[in-house]
Amino acid sequence: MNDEQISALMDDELPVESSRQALAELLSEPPTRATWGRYHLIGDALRSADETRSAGSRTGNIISFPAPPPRSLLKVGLGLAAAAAIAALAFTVLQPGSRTGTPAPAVAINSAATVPAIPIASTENNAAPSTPVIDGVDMLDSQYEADGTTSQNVVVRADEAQQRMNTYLFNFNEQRARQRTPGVRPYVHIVGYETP
Amino acid sequence: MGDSITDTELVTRVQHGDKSAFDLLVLKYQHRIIKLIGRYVREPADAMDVAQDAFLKAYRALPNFRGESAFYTWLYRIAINTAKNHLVAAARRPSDVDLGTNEDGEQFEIEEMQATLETPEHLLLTDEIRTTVVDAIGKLPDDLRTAIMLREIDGLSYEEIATVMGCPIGTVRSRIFRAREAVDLRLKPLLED
Repeated sequence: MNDEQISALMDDELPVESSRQALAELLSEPPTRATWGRYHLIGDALRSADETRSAGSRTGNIISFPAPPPRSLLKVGLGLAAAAAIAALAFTVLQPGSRTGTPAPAVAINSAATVPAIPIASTENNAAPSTPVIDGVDMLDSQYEADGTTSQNVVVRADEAQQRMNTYLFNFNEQRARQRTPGVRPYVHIVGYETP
Repeated sequence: MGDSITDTELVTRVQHGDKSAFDLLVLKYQHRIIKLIGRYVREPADAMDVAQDAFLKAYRALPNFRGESAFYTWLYRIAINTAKNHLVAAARRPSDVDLGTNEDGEQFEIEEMQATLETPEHLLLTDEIRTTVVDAIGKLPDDLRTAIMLREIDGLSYEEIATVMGCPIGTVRSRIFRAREAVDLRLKPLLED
């Protein structure tokens, strides 16, 4: 009996009659029984190595991907990001029609309640480079980009912000009235800054 | 694991009194059974003992095996029950009791079967064996490696492998044998040490 027959026998790939005959020979020849044992050992070793490798790759995935932040922190983070985005929008988009052109001094409300420094991108480069101003907003730590945009940290006075918001709402209502379209509805609560 | 023709034939031979046929079944399944028992019994030496006990129980029960399930399924059940019984007994047993005594006079039969089932240390699946086999497989030509991996890892039949590899069944049979032969060349010296 040759080893190829043992190989096929252990895979159940010999015809039934040949299997019987091969088994009879296998049982009567101790050396071929040893081959039978080693061939099965090869299969077991391969499967074992494959399982170990699979388990290792699963563990590897867990390690390689950073753990997601706790859900509650994620919500807080999203909330803060949304608040920051709204604040940035309010100070850059909702501007009154008139521009003072005179930068107000950067004074924090109550010496501490400054609006968090939010990077703002602007294409307005007409202000003096030494004192960059966007609609009265002081630009600190300006960084001029190669494409002409500017990103900077801003500090806004709250009383000035409230005044501009009021002006904006006034102008908005006036414009809506001229166009005969609804302005700010009286029952809509308007959120704005309150001066202390 | 389907109902193997070889298993059926070997079981029939054991039932007719051919103990060496059972030896082939042990050689075929011992690593799988030890691994299975290792899930219950952590200590490797204990797992080996329990595996031996399971094979002994299987040998004794084999005359009653009717082939209603595949041999391996039947053996698998015996191994799990033996492992569970071992855990229960270990929990109850005072640590200094000698387990070598046999009260029902079957000591001779047990010793005889243990000699048959004795697993040579070198046939155990060690890390060295695994590494040698994997290394040898890695050095095989692609067609041999693919054929043996499809057989041993994916469990495909020769016919299925022939379809996958686009070659005759005879070629598959030859490739798988040549792969085993090449790995065996590396394995054999290791086992003879």
